[in-house]
Amino acid sequence: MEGRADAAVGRTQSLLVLITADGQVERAEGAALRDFGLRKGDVDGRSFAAAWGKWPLLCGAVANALHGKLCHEFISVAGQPFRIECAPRTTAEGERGGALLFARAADRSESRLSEKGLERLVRNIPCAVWTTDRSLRITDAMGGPRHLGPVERQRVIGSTVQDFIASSDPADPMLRAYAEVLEGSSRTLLYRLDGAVYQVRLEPMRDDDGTIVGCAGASLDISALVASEQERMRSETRLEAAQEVAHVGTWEWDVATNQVRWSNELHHIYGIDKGQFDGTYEAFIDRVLPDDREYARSVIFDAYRKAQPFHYDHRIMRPDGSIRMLHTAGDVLVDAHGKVLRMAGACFDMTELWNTTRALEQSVSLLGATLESTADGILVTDRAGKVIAYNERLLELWGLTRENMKGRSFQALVDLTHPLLENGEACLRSVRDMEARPEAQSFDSLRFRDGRFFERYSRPQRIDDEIVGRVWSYRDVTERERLLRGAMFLADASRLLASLDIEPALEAMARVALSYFGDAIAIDLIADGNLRRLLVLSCDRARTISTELPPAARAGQPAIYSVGTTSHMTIPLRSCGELVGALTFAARNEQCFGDTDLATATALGRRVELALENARLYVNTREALAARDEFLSVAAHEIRGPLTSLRLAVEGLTHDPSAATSPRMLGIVDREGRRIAELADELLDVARIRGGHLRFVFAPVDLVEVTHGVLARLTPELSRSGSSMSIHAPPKVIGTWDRSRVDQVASNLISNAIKFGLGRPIEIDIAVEGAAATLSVRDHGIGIAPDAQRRIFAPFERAVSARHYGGLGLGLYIVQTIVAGLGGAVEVKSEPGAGSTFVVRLPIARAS
Amino acid sequence: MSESQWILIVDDDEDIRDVISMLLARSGYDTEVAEDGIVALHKIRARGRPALVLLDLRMPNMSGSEFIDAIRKDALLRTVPIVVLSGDAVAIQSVEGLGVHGYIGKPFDYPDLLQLVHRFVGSRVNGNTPRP
Repeated sequence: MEGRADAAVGRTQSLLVLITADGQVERAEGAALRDFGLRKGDVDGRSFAAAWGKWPLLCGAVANALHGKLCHEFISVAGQPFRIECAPRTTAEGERGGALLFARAADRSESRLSEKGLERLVRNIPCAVWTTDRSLRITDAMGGPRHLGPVERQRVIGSTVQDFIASSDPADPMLRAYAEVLEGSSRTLLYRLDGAVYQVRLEPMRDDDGTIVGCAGASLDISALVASEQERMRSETRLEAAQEVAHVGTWEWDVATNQVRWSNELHHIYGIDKGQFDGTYEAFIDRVLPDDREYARSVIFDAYRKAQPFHYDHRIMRPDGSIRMLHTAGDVLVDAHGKVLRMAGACFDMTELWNTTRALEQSVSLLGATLESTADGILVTDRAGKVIAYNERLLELWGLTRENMKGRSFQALVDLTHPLLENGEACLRSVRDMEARPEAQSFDSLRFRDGRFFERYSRPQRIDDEIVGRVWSYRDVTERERLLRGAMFLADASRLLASLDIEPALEAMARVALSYFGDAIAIDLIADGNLRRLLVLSCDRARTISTELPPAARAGQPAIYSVGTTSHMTIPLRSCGELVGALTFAARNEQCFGDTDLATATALGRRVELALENARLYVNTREALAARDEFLSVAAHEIRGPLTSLRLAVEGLTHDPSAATSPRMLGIVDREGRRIAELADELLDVARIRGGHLRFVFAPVDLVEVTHGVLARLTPELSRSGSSMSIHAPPKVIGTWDRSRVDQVASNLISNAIKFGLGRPIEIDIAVEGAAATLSVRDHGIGIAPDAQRRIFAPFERAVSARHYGGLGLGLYIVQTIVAGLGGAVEVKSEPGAGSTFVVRLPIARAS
Repeated sequence: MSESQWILIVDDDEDIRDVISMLLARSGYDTEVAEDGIVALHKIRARGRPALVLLDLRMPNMSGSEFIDAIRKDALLRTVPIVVLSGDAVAIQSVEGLGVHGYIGKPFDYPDLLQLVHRFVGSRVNGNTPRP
């Protein structure tokens, strides 16, 4: 056609335009260019639509040709009709490639369709037209063989519709449609014939009177359309299936009409059947969970306002009450003026993913919270030793900052921190061992130079069976270690202090305490108000500990204080509420005593107090035992003395009863018998006193009379001693007492005065002072030393050596006990070498 | 009996002193008594060296052991036999090292005492053991 057109262009008022596939003018020539107001060369390379924009019919024809359709048109250009032929161009290989337009000035008659032209037209479009008479005999037909079937037009005319469709079955849709049309209706039907699908339109054909004389029909081959529709439907079905599998639904919102269309899967996601959704924006919003509605509205409004793609997550509630989490992505479609036409997008039901993510987040959050709330410092490394995670506690324990941790490997951290340790080398070895054996677990104790203790646990981190790293956990056990060491130390100290030999025990304890507490320890003891330093031990010879106790310790309170730069601690030692000493400790240079140290030292103090008390009791007991032994010895002597005299006198009397000495011997027997009886009484009294069984028989007693009786009884002794005796007393002093006990008191005191009076005068005074009677016995003999004055009233005690003076040492003890039992008191005033005065006061009325 | 053959009885218990003195006198011995160490030393100073000292340990003013000390320091008296009379076994042990010549625990019978006296002073009545 291009060759033919070129020839025509040369001769006549015509135009030839070659157009490329993208609508550009490749070449335009011909005299008719002028009729379109164009010149050759002006339009080459330009868009056809731009150059011939004034002639829309022309542009439409070119557009059709570019889509493979042949076009014929008549157009009028400046009053001159032009016949236009427009056809797709094909390459040598038969592929489409642009369009060709040929325009030729035509006669005005040429613009009317001839029958021939009509036929040609019909041939070139996929349709056929025909007429029939009432017997369905085809009276005329027009259309290409493709559309009329394999029957030529001339052969069709005269044949019947039944022949054409090869069916005379009245139920055939075509024949039924004809029958209805012959009744006056119009019918449109789809009809399949020979594999093609036709859309058929049948109209009744009437004569001038309106009588139906036959039918007029037209058919259009829509096979391609049907095939394409089927393909579209198949494609939509596949899309729906894909949506269902992926839980992705699609939607479209025509904003102007507020019509919302949902895909099947979107209905499924919302848990409703098709038809249950009202298809409006409001119906959609109603299904969004109330908490998320405002957010959903704002996202959609924002996208609408900005006309830009959007995506967001929101929850919906299904009719059954279940909640689903959806992820929606959408876009906004606008017209040329930017007006929003519709919004469309896809919705992904991510509930399962959301739940999984939530569970994962929960897990991660739990892990994070656990990591941060644990008292342990946690560090996680990968297989290459890179630090993957750690918690705040780790930083706190090691005194590190987040800056310190940045980019550092575990090895670098170890290098940074292990110089702080006393056992750093051993710990480094353990770290290397763990690196060499990824599957191994370890437990180490880290001892810090500043006194802290950590425990380090290490175990591999696994995902399934694969070791992906290692977890290091650090626990500060300083307090526990201190308590343990404290308990062990106290146990050691208690063991050492168990010895009754107190000073060596204190020294041994001090040596153990020195290594436990620090640099120096001092033990001070207070006796008779004077502080005596028992010992001081020090690691450093230059270190001294003041003997001046801090005020708190003097007040009985343990105290931590500083002397210069050294931390000190003093624990007072008390016994029966009295301060009896103190333990003082000095810390090592870098260390300060704390509450735990104070508690341990205080506990040690309690043990030392107990040890001191035990030692004191031990000494007292030992002394008491010695006094008892001495008493037994004295008692034996005292009894053996009279026994010896008695036996010898009896022997003498037995062998020679007539001897001149016999009367003296009999006197000895009598005296010694009484002496033994008195000793026995004295011992019995002591036993009664000790057992709390001393009994009194109260009756009116004249003290003066009793005293005279005693003096009369002791006259022989008094005369042997050489002492003189004077007595100053009123005629009577009567009180309610126990006569024999008062006699015992007077007898003891006067005997003692004779015994220790050195033969010097003895004075006895009896008087009444207020409600009490007093008996005073004064000698001028050996006297009693001050320290002895305190103990002479205790049992088995004597102021003088038992080597020199006989007696059981019980006299004054018995005196004091009797006087107390009678409600009175006894006191002594004495000076060694100048004599003693014993004064007994007895209430005259009976003691309660 | 020579002038020096006398026995000194030292005891703070008057009855013991007396009864021993009377019995020894009946057995033919010359005796002196003293109630403590000081008096005993006075008696020795007055009569000279005794043939035997019967000595109690527990006495006022000067105890038995102090008396022994004093005697042993005197060159003339150093060898005087001393027999301790005591009811206190512990006290007797304490003077064992001081060179006493014997001891007799209280209470004792007269024949036991007389045997000791014989050993140091000899028999006085017809060579037989004197009886009280």
